[in-house]
Amino acid sequence: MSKKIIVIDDSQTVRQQVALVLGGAGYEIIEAEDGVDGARAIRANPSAVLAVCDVNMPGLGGIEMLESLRNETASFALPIIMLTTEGRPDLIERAKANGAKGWMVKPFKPTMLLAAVRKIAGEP
Amino acid sequence: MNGEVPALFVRRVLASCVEEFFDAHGMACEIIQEGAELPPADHVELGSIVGFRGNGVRGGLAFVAPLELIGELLPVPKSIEHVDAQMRDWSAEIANQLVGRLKNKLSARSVNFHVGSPVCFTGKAIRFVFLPDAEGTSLCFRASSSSVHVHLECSLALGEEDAADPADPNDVRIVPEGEMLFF
Repeated sequence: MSKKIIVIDDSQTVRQQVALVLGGAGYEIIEAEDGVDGARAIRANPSAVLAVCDVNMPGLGGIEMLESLRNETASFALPIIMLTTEGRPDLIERAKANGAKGWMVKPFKPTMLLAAVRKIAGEP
Repeated sequence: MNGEVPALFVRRVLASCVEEFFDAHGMACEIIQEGAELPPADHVELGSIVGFRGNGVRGGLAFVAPLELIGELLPVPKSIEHVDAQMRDWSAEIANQLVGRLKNKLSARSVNFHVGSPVCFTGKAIRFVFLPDAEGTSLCFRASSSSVHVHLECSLALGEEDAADPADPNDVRIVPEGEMLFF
């Protein structure tokens, strides 16, 4: 059974782009369109090995989702790579403080994303 | 910025954002000088707008391009069933990425803002004409034999130290576009 990765972004094109790269490498992809949907997907898929998550999303943003999940479960440990247009140092530090494993600025390089996922989550 | 007036600074930064975006997506793009713009063609355009607001800054950016060009820039296969929604989504994401680049460059001048969700309009000859006293910038580019218009209205308050700093806005960034930081 392939390892599950949750992709959270309000842009369907970006979700599809990430899914093509990671799904093409053999991972099973679960999509979510915002932080609320993302948190739901994370709770519903406890076997997921990683999430790729946007920062600025309507409703609930990526870092807010991360903070919410950590507040909900002290042991929350799903590795998350933030994939965003943001480059502000304070946001990066906030994500890091809440357990994110990486910060990637769009547009992403497919080989870099795949290498990062393999490094953090292992092969599919 | 080297004493450059804010309006010219913003224009220069915006131009570099657009050129870098197209370069990152593998498409050549050149700015068209004022007066040399192609006449509006009778084809469908998508116009996506993103608003932003922060301390000392508020405004909006609009990215307007022909539907065909949006399709050429699409990084995934074109949908058969939902192509209209897909093109709108991608047009909106382009505007989002342009504002993201703008934000990262302006952060080097201590200008920070929150970005809203982009929205996409469909039309023909979509244009903004700023009033003479508005803080608006309109740039036209040629990309893949199409005209691309980027409009930015941005009320920007730069401090004296930021206005006097001659550093290039490209110099100061934590994580450049296309790169990754591991924690």
